Amino acid sequence: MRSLSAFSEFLISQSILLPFLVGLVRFRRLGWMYQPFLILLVLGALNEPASYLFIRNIHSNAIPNNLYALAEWILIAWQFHRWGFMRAQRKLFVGLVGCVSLVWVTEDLVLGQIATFPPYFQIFYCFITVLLSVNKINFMITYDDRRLYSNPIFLICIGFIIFFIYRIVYEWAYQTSVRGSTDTALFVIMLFGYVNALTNITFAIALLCIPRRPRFSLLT
Amino acid sequence: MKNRISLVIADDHEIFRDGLALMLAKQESVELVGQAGDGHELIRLVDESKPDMVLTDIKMPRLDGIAAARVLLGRYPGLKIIALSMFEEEDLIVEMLEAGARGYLLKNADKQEIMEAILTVDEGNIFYCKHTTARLASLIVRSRFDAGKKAQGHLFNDREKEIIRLICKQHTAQEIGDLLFLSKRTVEGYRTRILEKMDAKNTAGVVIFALKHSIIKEEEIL
Amino acid sequence: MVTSVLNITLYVSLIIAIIIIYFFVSIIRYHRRYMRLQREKIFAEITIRENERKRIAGDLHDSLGPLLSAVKLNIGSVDTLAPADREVLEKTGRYLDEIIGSLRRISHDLVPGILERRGLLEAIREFIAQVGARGSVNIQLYVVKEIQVPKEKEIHIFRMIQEIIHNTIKHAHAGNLQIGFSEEGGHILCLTKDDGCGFDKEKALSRSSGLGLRSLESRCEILGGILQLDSAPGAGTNYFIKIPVR
Repeated sequence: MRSLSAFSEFLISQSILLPFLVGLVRFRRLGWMYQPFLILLVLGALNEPASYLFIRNIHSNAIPNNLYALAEWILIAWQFHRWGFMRAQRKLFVGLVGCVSLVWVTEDLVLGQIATFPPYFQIFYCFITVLLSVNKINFMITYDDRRLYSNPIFLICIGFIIFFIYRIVYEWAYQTSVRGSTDTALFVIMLFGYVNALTNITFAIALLCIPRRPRFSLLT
Repeated sequence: MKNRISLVIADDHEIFRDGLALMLAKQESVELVGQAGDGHELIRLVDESKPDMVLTDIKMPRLDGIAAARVLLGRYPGLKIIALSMFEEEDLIVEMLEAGARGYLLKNADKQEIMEAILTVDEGNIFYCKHTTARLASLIVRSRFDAGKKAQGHLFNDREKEIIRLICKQHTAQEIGDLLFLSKRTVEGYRTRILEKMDAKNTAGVVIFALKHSIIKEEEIL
Repeated sequence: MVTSVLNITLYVSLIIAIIIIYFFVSIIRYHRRYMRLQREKIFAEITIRENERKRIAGDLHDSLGPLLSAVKLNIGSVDTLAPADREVLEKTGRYLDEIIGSLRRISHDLVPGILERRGLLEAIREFIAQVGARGSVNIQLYVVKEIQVPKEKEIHIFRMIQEIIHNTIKHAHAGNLQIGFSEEGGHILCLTKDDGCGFDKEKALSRSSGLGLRSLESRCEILGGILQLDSAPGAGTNYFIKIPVR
């Protein structure tokens, strides 16, 4: 369904490798704060060949995609938790993650749609992720007085916002195109790869901006 | 020969108390019969030794000088109390006077002034420390403190009133002489007579008397 | 089919609208929290400073004061007939008087003991009397209407008046300063007016002497009040302070 025929499209979709490689190179420096994000990058990098294999053999990469979506949600939520979201209410946080995951379980397992591309979990977790990112950015604007633009967390959150808002619009475009396409929908779908690449470059820059871990620091 | 004045002193600052006791011990005319560190101790000592006079600090822990003075004067109305003040807490001094103290001293007064105060108060007069500020003087005048002596304001002729006003404004004898075309000696003579008539010991006493009897107005000296 | 597409479009638009609203709400919330933290920080700083002053004044009164008085007494106890020696002792005594006088002044500037005992207006009157004796400005206090000030606010209002008076004496070259207090609708109003040389508010805030002005504003803010400054070169200076007390 989402075939990657042209070579340039393929290349752009592999843009996930950029931050992945940066993460690899800088691994030792990154540390505990960015662990979930790194795992996310690894999974993202793995998702590409996996999708390719599935398309080759089963003509649909729905299953790895859906699994990846769930993993993406859990890792992102975990990452925000590491960065301080609901640090004090551990149990509540786990409950929240569980609830959203329940939507996935309901959609993909209970309703048996795992081989298709169900929209609700997608839109839902993209929406929550954007809210989390907005929250973090606003927090950093008002409290942190370090330089904002070179703050990796800030850049990553900006990346998330751009990417996941676009994801939501993309989901709209996809659902619309299924029911009878319009030019807008097709345009959005086509643009997706470029937005993805842009976000990945932002992530790579963010990872480059992570400062050397100071020996003794209260700021983790 | 007059009896020695028996004295109890009270102050929460031990160093000062010791110094004061040391100085008083050398004086022939007084006998130190007790030292207290706070109001309660003071009352106890006065009950025990029934002195003629009390020199007490105003600010003391547990029971301050003002409260102690009220208690003591309630029990011994004839007791003469002199207040000691460190940093010139003017409103507290006024309160002590209203409570019945007959005079006050600043703690940096010298030996002479302390003895003068003791002797003056022993004679039954009021003693105002010579370092009294104009503001303190006006506060005293405005307070409920009764200076006791009902001296008449019109005891003084115009020239004397003139000199009194100049004294209140802190002019020296020489300056007064220059202003009024008198010699310094004449001025000093006037001053002595004025002090006698007022029963005052120093300029402070003059100021307070003058304020009380409207010889000079507050605004002129503040 | 079309309605279904419309529905999807509607849902997605709704989601995006919620995101935007959340953005604004969130940032406003954080900003307000930040401002509150700033205010608490300033208040803490001011409180620390006041406590420090109390401590120092207490030390002066309890340690230095009695020692100096005792020294004076001890000097007085030295009996000597040699006139040269006597003169030395006398001079020493005078120096001690001066030291004690300075100590008195410093202690007074640090902590106005009378504030706690007699309240704000009495403290201001005493301060004016003290300052008036030293300075060249004629200061007058008017109480248009009796004011009741809660204890914890008294020291701050007093410091503000202190600052204003200091400024007037130091910078304004004024002949007269009038300070008026009044009460209206649960607020204390204070209006000061001097006939000095005035100043340019913008310039003053940028110079280092603007610190005094800023501390005035800070204190006013933590009391929950407002401060208005009216001044122009050559036209004197007016301060207007309004502080809620109920």
